[in-house]
Amino acid sequence: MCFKCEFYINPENDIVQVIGSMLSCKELVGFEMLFVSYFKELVGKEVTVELKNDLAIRSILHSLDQYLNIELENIGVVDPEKYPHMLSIRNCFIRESVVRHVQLPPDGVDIDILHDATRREARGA
Amino acid sequence: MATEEESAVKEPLDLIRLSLDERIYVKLRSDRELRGKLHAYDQHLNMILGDVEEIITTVEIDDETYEEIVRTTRRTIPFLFVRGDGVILVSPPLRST
Amino acid sequence: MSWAGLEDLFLSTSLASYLDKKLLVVLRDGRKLLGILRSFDQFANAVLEGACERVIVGDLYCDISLGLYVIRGENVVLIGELDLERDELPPHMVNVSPAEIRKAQKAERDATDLKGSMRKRMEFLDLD
Repeated sequence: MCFKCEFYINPENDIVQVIGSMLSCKELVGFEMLFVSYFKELVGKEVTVELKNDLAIRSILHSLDQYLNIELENIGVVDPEKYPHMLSIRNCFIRESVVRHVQLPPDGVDIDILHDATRREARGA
Repeated sequence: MATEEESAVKEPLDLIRLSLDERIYVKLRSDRELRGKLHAYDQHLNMILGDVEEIITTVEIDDETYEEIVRTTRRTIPFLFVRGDGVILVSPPLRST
Repeated sequence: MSWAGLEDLFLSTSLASYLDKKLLVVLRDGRKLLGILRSFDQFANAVLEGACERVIVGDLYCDISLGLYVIRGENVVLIGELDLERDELPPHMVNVSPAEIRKAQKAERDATDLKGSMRKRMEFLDLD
């Protein structure tokens, strides 16, 4: 629990609750939450998730959890002819372990905030 | 001006820390390479890179001659999150001292 | 802080909203399972009722029914909610019998095996 940004993990259901911006919270050192807090700020923005099986999905980031499992809304498959079974999927859940990389909106987060958060994370680890 | 503690290299990840905001080379599994500016990383080597050039090498076998055809595809991505479990190596920028 | 924004402040992906719906589960080996989600946990272990495997070879497809399946989360790539208003597959795809799809699968596998073995033979010749 952090009193500044009110970051809190409910031990009963593992749900993470945050009120402020975790990414710019200077109290939150050593929680290993850098990328979780980064992606939290991208919720509602468009990303392209590329999986280890080469499937790439362009979509709005709907939600994520502390393990970086992600939920996408209104998905569009980048190469639909190759993946006909994805045609009728609108929303989906992607397991964290199968993500290769995520193309991010360039205007997502301020670079300086990101650098500071990374240095804090490096100190804490 | 970096303090002595900040510039000391004691463990492998310290080299990555010193590469923050610099262009690095990353080799990934499944014959992929990235070059880009390092904006964030964590202890799993999850990373965020900016102005990324990705090089993908694929090998196909020709239908008629059965020869191997090696193709490299390049693409640029403005801003990219990379999952650490696919990282084979990271090469910090060469610096002249 | 307004209550309207509260939803955004919780970090959770939960398969709870997918419960009792018809889903497509893509596995790491490329298999595609369809079924109704009856249970899940934080590892994405999942119970599918009335599961079937959708085998697709080129433009042919077949749903092979499997019954009740418990899937180990580790093998899950993606869980997608089927939009009942959309076509499940492109209209040009043809539904065939299990026997036919197995035949098509085998032909596809044989073709890749042949390519591999021919390549090995060529490598052998190159050495001479």
